[in-house]
Amino acid sequence: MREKRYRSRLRIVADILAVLVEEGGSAGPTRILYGANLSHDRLVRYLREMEEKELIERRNDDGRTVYGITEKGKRLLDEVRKIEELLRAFGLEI
Amino acid sequence: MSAWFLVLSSAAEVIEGAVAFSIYHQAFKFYRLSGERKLLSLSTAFLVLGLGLLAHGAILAVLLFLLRSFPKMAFLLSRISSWALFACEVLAYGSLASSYFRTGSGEEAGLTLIVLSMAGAGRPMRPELLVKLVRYHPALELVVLALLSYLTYKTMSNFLSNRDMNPFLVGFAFLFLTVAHVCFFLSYFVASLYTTAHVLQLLAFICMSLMIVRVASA
Repeated sequence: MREKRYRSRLRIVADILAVLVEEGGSAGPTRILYGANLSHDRLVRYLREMEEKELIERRNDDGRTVYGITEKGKRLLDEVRKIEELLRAFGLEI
Repeated sequence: MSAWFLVLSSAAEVIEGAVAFSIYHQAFKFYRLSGERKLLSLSTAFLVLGLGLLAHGAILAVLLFLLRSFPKMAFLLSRISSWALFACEVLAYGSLASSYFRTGSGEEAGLTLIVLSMAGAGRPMRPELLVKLVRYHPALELVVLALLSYLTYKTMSNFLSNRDMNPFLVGFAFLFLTVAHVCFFLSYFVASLYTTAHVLQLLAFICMSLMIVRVASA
């Protein structure tokens, strides 16, 4: 039987930030939902939390909501990539 | 003979301990940021290993001065530090191995007498005897060797599936460490292998430090 693996909170936050970077710094909720592979409820919860922690910022772009990555978010993503690199060197994962 | 032997052992272990501390520092910094338990295991393992190596290295330097004047005290210190090093290595490598699981005597008395009599007579000690003085028992070496073999298997498998530079450095670091401990084990019988063991152990820690520099500057 295949082992079911759960992503950690840090992994999910990093995935959301990575989607924003891939999309040029900002993206709409639908794009983030597909890119980070999350359910709608979890996405809303994570986006709210990340906004409170100033990792992302909400903007209004021609009447639609988009989320942009902040400098703090970029720094966190850099650190997460280093963490992943260290763990990957030992064959471990976040 | 005993002077350069102790200087070599002491210097190598202090350098290795410092590298282990730098890995602990980086891993703990990442743990505080992420709260990831695997990073806590990794940092704890290298903290314990660093402490063991530094303490053993420092005591070997002290032995250099104690051996002639206070041989009894030198022997006692050597035994305590060897046991402490063994405990630290088993804890450290055991803690690392557990990270993978989660994802998945009479002789001593005899030795004391020989050391005391030879030191008292002012004669240079046989290399095999010095190895027995500064290292723990070969049976214990086998415990460390078993843990290191497992870690080498896991990290080399990781390198073979990744083919990346950092897994390569970690895989080879554990391979060097395993071969180094085979040499430590054999040096009980062929003392000349003791130097080879330390060179290999140093190489392993150089690989680790290169990896940590690459991660920190990524």
